[in-house]
Amino acid sequence: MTRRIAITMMLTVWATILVAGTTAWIAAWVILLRNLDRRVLDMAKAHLGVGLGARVVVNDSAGGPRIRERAHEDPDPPVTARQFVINPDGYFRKLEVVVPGSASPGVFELPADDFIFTMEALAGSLAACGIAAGAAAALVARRIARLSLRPLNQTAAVIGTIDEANLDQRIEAEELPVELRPMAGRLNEMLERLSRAFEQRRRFLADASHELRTPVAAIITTMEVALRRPRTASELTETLETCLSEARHMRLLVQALLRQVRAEGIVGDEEAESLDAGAMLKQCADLAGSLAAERNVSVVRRVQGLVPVHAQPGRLRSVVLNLMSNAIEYNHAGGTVELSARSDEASTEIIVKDDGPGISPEHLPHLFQPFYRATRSRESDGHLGLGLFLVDSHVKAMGGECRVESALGRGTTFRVRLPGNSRRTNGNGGV
Amino acid sequence: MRILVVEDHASLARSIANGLREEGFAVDLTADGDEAMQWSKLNPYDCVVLDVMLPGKDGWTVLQHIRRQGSNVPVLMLTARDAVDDRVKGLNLGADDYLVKPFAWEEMLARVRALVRRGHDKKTPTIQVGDLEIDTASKSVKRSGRPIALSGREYALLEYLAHREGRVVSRGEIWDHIYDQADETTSNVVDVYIGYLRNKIDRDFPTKLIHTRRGLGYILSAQS
Repeated sequence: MTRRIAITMMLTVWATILVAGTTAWIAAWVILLRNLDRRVLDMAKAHLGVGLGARVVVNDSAGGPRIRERAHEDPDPPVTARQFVINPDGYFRKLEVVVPGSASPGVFELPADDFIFTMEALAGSLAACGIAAGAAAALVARRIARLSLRPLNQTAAVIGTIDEANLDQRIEAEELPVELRPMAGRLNEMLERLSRAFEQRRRFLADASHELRTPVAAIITTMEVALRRPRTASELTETLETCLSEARHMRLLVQALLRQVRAEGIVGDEEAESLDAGAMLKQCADLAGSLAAERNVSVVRRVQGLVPVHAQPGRLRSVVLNLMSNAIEYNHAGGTVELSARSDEASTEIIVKDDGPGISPEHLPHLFQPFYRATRSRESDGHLGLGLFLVDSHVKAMGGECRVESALGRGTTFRVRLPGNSRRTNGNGGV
Repeated sequence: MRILVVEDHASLARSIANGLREEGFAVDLTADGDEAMQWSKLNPYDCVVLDVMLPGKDGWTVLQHIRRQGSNVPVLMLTARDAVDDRVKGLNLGADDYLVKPFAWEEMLARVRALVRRGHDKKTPTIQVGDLEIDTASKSVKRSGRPIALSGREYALLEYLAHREGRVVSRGEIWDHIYDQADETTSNVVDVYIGYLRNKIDRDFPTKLIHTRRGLGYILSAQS
């Protein structure tokens, strides 16, 4: 890139010098030649006696009379030919003029060596200056290009050092030239998003490994303690049962982790589309209905008119089903779970409301963290504390927001706010 | 030696408690941080095994609470995270040791024993009182080089007295350290066990090591 700028600069300077130099040289030629011709004509006029001695006398009050020669004011004799001639004495300018009263023209010559040499010297120095200026311009251009590209190279060097271990590094936008700042800003935003995603992944992995460590610890400790001395058959049976139940819990965990990975893989690729979620909400309510019947909980669906959302159908389905089954499972017998939706111009809110026991305030801020359980019942009912984490990550992936309100003894309400499909409609000019 | 185990994972907690009991420790078990804080105030534990992740109050809070009460009981933190930050946090808050799940039982035992010793200002696993030698690691007792077989309770009682060598220990104190909440005995049982111990340790030797201080309690000492 720097070389291209240098060559362009050099050619530009050369072209400029060529045009300007040629113009200057031609102008010099015309002016000098006219002077030369003037001198030849003056000589001719002197020789032919035209206007010689034509003097004007001016009366001056201060002193004596002054005399001015006005030879030039006399008309020049018509010139019939102008040319340069070379003879052994050098260059000459030759003019032929009409001589009054004579059939053959008068021929007058003056030496033109000065003129020719001057023009030659001028051409030479113009050419030399041009070449030198072009080369200098190339060097300077190269230098300037390098200097102005340096921030770009430095930025590239910084980007080159960033990997998953130091995603918190940022490009110093203030130190860059103004033109490069928007690019640095965008790059920093990208790094920010990447680092957030990485951090979330890392935390999920840490939490998952934490969840696996405890049952592993339980199995190892139970067996090691059991093996320290001879045991009766019933003691050994108890040991085996403990270990089996821990192993089953681990199986649940592993399955949930695999499901999470698979869900990310499948749902992650799905295209977001503008859709009416009404039919999907009905489907989810119906699906949840059978679970609700088992638990003697009733499901009420209050969805009227269109439910326009811009979302990935797979994710949205998973979100609604998860919230519904949560609300049903944590409700008491005879309770109600209500599914409703509300839309305004910009967004749509899907609301899952139950009248169950509610969640105490200290748990609410942690509810969407992976493996967080408000109630400790890990072995018995197979809840791993991943459901709401999944809901939240799906909703965030669709550019939405998930909120929860709860009052002990009165029930819990989850609100999922998603972009309505108006945004996209505007963007596509009314499709 | 009485140990408080605070762990909410039921089967792990049960195994730890059983394992420690079989090693002669008296063990109180709870899964609840609030309960742990109350118990640690009521009972003079020789060591606390404390899980970090607890429902309600977490392990850090319990630890801070114990230290704020002015207790110097050795605390062994159990955690499923082995991030350096976590370890540093634990040690800064006043934990004495740190064990990452899953751990080897032998290591757990060794650390608990070391912490108990440290709590009693003993650096080595062997305690020497006159010609009586107690190896707290192997739980073996010798007098004049002759091995003496003791039951678990007897050993626990002797070890506690040995940790308090030269100091008078009341019956109540002994009971507090040797028995956990599950025991429904009264402190009178201590007298019975002191009798058993005397039979095995002092009867065949001219120099008596266990002395009674009437109205105060007992003392283990080479000097009468």
